[in-house]
Amino acid sequence: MSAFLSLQDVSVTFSMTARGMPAPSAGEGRIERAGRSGEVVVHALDRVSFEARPGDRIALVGPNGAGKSTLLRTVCGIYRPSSGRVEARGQMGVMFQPGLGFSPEATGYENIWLAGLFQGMRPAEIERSLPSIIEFCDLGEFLYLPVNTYSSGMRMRLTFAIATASQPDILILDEVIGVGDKDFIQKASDRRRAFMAKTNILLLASHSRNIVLETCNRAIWLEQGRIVQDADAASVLHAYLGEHHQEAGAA
Amino acid sequence: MIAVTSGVPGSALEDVSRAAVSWRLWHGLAWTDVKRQFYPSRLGALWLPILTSMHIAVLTFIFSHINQVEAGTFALYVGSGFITWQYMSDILMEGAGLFRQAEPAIRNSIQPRSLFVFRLVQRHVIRLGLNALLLPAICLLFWHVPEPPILFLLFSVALLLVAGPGIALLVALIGLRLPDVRLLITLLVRISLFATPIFWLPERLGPYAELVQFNPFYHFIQLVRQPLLGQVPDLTSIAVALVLTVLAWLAALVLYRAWLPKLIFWL
Repeated sequence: MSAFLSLQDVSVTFSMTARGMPAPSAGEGRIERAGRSGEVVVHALDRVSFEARPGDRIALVGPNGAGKSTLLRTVCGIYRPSSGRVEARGQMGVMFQPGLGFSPEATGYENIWLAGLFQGMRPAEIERSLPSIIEFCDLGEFLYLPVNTYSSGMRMRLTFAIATASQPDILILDEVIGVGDKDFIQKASDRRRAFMAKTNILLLASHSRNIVLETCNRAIWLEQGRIVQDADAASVLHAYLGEHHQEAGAA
Repeated sequence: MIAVTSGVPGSALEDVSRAAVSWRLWHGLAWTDVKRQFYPSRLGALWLPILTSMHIAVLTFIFSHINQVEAGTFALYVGSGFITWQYMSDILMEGAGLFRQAEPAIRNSIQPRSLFVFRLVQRHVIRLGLNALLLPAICLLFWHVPEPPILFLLFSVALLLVAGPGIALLVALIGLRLPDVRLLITLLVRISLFATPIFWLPERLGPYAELVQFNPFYHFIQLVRQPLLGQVPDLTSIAVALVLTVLAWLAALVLYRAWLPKLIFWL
């Protein structure tokens, strides 16, 4: 089964009342008053269509609140579209919050299992990747100690090693994992590159110009929940940064 | 429309069945939940039966005197009642706030949403198992020899395990959608500790003794308690517990089917 991804006219709206708790994506897209006083509808995504085939490495670019995170979460079914159609085929892997499923009181070993299962790896897959995880995180006998005894660097190595251990057909990432000190970035970049290369389809939301140019062959520019441009990474980035040059410095 | 073959399950049934088979994950999470509560004590999770035994001892001492009954049998009566009630009340109380509590994981992972229901129930199944260690201990202590009806416990425990996720999912959905009902559930469960014959005998209520028949906790407790005391459970209790289990599952699945697509937007 080859991986495939298709969105047709997908819109996502959040209904809210002035009294209700605002959803985290409030402010994305447009806000519209709906019916009774206090009720608003936020258009987080507005008729978004695109298709992805094996080999596609797609970067989502756009300012904060453009709908990048919402789009990623819609692709994998966390948000249901209010209209339109999402189709996805292939084993999916998502990484929105590294370390999800981590339990600080459990040992490093236990956490490899928990976090691995949590991110959708099968037991046999975890078993297979154990040696590479153990080797990469370089924790030695610390793996038998609770994670809350680790330094932040040790914890990051473990999180990163587990996060990059799976081999999904469709990989969905919100910002690139593995920001850390210089040494760590150096060490991690090979593994990250291999991880992203293994997958059939990559969908990556990123603010980093270098990461996008280095990893992606295609980019989709989102603005206010709509697609502005969908083309090769270099030209989309050029056009996008041209319009948002104040953000280019930060990238 | 959504046709994701590998992301978040699209239908309620698929969601529940996919969650149910990921037992390694929900059991692992549940077990670390239990251990976390007693971390980093030396005895760890064994503290749970120790604490429960103190509860049972105090309740048995006081109420066997007040009720003027023999302490040995009464300890088993209180123990079975208290442990079973604890299991159900924990599931109801924690179930009512479940989805909001699991919000970060629900928003950031493609695991089935009902995974967290199974995790919660398994946490309390583990606790039930640890507490249940006290029952043979009480039997030994008071030299109480189990009689053949004890075999009925297999059915009773199986029913408690099956009922757990259905009830938890139901209250989790209601608690999410109707926050006021959630508070009501919490209140009722608290009162039920006293309104259920856990450390008192229904016949002491005299003309009101039959009122306990309207208490769902009572019937589930009877299923566990009577076999331990050498009796086959009343037919009423078996029937009520079975019907409640089926109804809870049906209601939970109907609501889940209707609400699953919108669930994330309500968090």
